[in-house]
Amino acid sequence: MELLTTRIVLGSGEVIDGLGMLPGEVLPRDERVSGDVVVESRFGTLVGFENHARRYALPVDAQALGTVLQGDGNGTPERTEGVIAGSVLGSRIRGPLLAKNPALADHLLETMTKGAYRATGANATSADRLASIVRSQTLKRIASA
Amino acid sequence: MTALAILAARAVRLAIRVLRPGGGSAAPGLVANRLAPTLLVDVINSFPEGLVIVSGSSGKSTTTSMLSALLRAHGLSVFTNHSTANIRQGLMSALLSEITLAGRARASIAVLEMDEAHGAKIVAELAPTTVVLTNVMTDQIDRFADPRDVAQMLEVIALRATRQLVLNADDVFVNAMPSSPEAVVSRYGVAESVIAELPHGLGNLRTTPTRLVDGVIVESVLDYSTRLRIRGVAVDVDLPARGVHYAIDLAAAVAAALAILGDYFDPTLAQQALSALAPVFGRGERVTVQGKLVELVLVQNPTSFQLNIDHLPPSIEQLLVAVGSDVRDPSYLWPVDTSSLGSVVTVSGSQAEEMALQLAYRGVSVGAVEPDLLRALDDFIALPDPADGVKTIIFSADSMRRTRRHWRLT
Repeated sequence: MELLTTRIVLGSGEVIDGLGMLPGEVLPRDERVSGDVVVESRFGTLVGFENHARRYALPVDAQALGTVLQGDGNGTPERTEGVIAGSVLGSRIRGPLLAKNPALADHLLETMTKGAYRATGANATSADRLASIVRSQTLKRIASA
Repeated sequence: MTALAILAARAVRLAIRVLRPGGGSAAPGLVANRLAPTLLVDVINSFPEGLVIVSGSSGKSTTTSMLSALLRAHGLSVFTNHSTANIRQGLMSALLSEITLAGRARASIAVLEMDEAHGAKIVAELAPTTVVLTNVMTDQIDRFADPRDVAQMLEVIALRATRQLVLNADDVFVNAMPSSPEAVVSRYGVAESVIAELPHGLGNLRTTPTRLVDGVIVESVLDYSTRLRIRGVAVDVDLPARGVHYAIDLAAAVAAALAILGDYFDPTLAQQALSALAPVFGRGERVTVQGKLVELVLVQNPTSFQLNIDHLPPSIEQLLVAVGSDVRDPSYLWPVDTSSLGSVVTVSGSQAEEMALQLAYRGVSVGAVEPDLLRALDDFIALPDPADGVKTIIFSADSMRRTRRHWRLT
């Protein structure tokens, strides 16, 4: 995702030009961030894992994917995670993002196929059931920490 | 003080053996290190035929085990550490049986496996005569985010070698390691035809563009044997378990033995010793538990996971997959193409649901998800023997340790 932003500033001071599809720039952090991340978004509560060593500075007029409830997200004081720029959605949530957040995956499928396709059937149901267990385990782990 | 430290530590070790049979422990080493802080370094630097350090992302244990077997076959007595004893305390604990009360080593040569990070820290105090480097895997996302960091740690270790540096010619980082002026560099690598046969190449190893000509070469790999070319001579060796990574570890061990023994290296002795070698500790190992044969496959990162799957027969009839707390970032499971597994009887370990989710998306059918590992193991072993093949368990390091404790395996 970071390569799609306008630029990446490395710890050495060197600057890499991004592809410019997403607003904002990526800046170095002192330490690696890795752990559970929970984000409140318009697609529901997003649960996953973050593992990176950079901050994502969004311009004031840009729209974030959501607000961080647990973890670091973009690493800025606004406590936001990711970005939504038109039809492009950017996030550093992994774990993976879509398998763990079927509501988001369904939304993307519907948008892309203009409602022609929905994930149904036994495979989808059992995968989503596993995702649901993993989500609640993660949230429980966070609550008891 | 030395004798006192050794005796105290041995007493602690005895206590642990009684209280926690089957588990490893670094506690005796802690005791010894506290009582006699310079003992560890003094002993390690005192082996008459030298100190060999084996490091790199993966293949350390197997290479160390194979090299020790090769040196023993040639008449040397070898002190070597096992896969869990990579740090100062674990090492000291392992040394306790191998030294006299005066703190002198009994064996003639030491072959030590060292973790990249801990190795880089401790190696400044050590005088290794030989350093053997395996690879820099680019997928250690939980621990080492940037392979260049690993390469830098290995460089620190490489530069300490006073006589020989043995390098993997197929790995971009390792192949380019610097050496001290006194050290002679030698290499090992695979032939083009070997890479061509692999569905995923050499895995998450940044591969050099050209193949090695001068060194120990893996010419071909079959299910359970490999042909090595050593100083122009073809030598066929049985492999302890399936997989090109074992053949590469063999080549590393042979290249190291060749460098250390020089003209004393005997290919026939080497062939016999290696062919007789039992699989190392949990990596492609067959054991009998309650009268049933079980194959144990350890996976430690996406690369070893992929390579191991690629070498298993497809659609194993009775397969248990256990993933434990050593996997913190679950994304580590997802680059692996597990589809050839076909179906899994039970997924277990503390991260059972994470693994089951990955399998679901790869189209692998799962019988049961049972996070309680001991219960899953008991149910699995109670199943009648499969009609075809062998009961197989794929596990991550944490699940492996628990399994070994539960079944009292060494």
